[in-house]
Amino acid sequence: MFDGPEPIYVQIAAWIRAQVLSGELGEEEQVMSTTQFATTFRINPATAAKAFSGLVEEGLLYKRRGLGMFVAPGAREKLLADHRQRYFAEVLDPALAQADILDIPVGDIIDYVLGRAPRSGAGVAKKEK
Amino acid sequence: MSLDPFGARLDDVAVRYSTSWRVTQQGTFSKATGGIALDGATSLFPAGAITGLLGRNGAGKTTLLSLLAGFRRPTAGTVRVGPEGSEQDPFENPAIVSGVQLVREAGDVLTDEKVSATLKHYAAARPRWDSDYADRLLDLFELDVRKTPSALSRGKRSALGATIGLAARAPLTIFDEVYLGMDAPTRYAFYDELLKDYAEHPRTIILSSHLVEESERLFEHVVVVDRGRILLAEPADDMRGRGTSLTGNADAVARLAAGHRLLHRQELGPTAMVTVEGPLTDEEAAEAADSGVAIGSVPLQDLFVHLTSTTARKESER
Amino acid sequence: MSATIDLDESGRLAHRRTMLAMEKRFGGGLLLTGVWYWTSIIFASIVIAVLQSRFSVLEGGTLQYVLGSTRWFLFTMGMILVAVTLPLHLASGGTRSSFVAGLFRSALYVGLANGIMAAALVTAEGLTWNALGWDWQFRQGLVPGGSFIVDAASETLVLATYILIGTLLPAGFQRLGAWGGSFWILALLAIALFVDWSVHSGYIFGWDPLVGAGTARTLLGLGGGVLAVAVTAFAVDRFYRDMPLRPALG
Repeated sequence: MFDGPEPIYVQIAAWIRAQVLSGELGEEEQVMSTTQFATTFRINPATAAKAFSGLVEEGLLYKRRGLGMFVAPGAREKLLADHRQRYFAEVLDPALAQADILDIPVGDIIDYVLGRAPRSGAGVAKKEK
Repeated sequence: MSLDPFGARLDDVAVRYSTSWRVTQQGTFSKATGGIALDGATSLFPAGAITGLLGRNGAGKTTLLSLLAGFRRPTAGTVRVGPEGSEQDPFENPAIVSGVQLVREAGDVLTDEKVSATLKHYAAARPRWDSDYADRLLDLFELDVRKTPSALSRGKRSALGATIGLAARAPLTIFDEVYLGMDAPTRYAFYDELLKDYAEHPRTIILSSHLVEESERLFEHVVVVDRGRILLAEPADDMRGRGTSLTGNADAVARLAAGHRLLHRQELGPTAMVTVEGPLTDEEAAEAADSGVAIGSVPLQDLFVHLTSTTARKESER
Repeated sequence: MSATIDLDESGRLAHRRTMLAMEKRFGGGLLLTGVWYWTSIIFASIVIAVLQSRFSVLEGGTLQYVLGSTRWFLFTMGMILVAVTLPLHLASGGTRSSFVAGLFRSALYVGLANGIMAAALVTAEGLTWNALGWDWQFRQGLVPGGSFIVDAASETLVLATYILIGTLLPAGFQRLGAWGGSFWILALLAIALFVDWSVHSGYIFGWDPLVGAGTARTLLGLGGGVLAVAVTAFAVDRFYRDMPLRPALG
């Protein structure tokens, strides 16, 4: 767990985000404490705390005094909205840029998205020319 | 009585050993040759954090830790240990050294008496000793208190050191290469206990090690010592950010690496894999992406090896 | 501000706590081995007495032959125990200062316990010999003709000095090197001879030629013993108060 190339706190934050997004962690549900995190995944508690404070700043988690960290109301919505927005910037933009390089007409892409048969031959065939 | 975690600081510290005679634990004499153990060492061990003290064998780790525990005085420079804001010279300072538990490789135990005799002594001397916790740890490490430390295996003796270090609950707890001889399950059991007890009883912990890989995630802070000098003392995440690995076409990699200090280089035909110091700039990252060079992070262990290896030294001295 | 005051207070508590723990290790260790020592001493003196009474005439008692070994026994034990105790003491959070304080106190009360034991045995032997109508005298060791208290006090001073000398022997090698340490042994030997000479006046030649037998001799003798303890204690303080621990390899 958390063996990726990014800093561990970034990976922890990503893991919690994924759990909220998938619904495994519901709103108002308590998140593992830094101590639990530390002992479960054999990491420094400060590392977990760093991930938590980032998520609190993002408004995904909030702290209940003496109780611990909880998923903020609307956290999933916020994540969804955020991911939707980022989908265009991070997923679609590079794909369209690649299409530009490959000279794929915008029409083909629109057709593809709409599920219609391509009008001027398959995109793959065109690329080979 | 509870004390805040102790912080520790070295300022321009030098330690030179003179050749002398000393008495071993067995009561015999042996000649110890002198030399420079630390030279211009300046470093901080933040209060309340777990700090990894990394260095190769003979780098000066043990000497540095002896200073913090008041086992010796520096030849030059100042050492300060204590609760944040009231750090003091630890040497012959009862308030400070009674709050510092240094577990040395040699163990500092009564080798020819039952383990229970050693524990009894620590219990009497240590103000925050937790006997119940010590018993639980002895169970965990399967230590027989009726045996003498000299009859224990290296791993079990290390486990005894781990037990002493944890049960003492000292505001500054130092483990010097505590894992020696421990098998993997025991080492992980130790790491788990350390984290659990650290969370329940906040204190400052220093772990000296040259096996970085399995313990690096425990560290919030790292201090790297090499040949008596402090190479770096900074948050562990900063150290992780110090290295970037570049893999790809040898020419492209060489172009990208040109502006950086080279830590390590490996060539496999037309492909090169290098480790450079520091993160890449955005432009460099973009250039890397364009030329098909993969950017990766470098594990702390590799960085440590690169920073302290003799080839890295030659590269930097060029 | 308050942290500094806390530190002063916890420093005092720590000094006392670690000193007592050290005493328990060092003094307690000496006392415990003393039990075995005295058991064998009493056994040996009885065996000698029985054998002598069987085969020849008893001359003056048997304790005088065995009692002189007490000081060497404690000297050796002190030397062995101190080497083990200092690293343990420092590792368990003690200072050299509380170590030295524990050493002094241990030397004095171990000396006292063994001194009282020796004086009691001597008294008991004298009473036994008199009761059996044998001729009893004590030629070696204690001040001749001394009372129980003088016997106990003089033996205490000798033993305390020898214990401290034992702790100074390895320290000398560590601080002064091989040659210095060897000469240091001679200095320690001189102190040992002096305390024996002074306290056990009459043994060798003592104070007798100077002041004759009497209270003055006893007081001078004991005074010399106190001086010997003080000199060795001073040396112990000087040697251990800034003793560095090298990284232990074994």
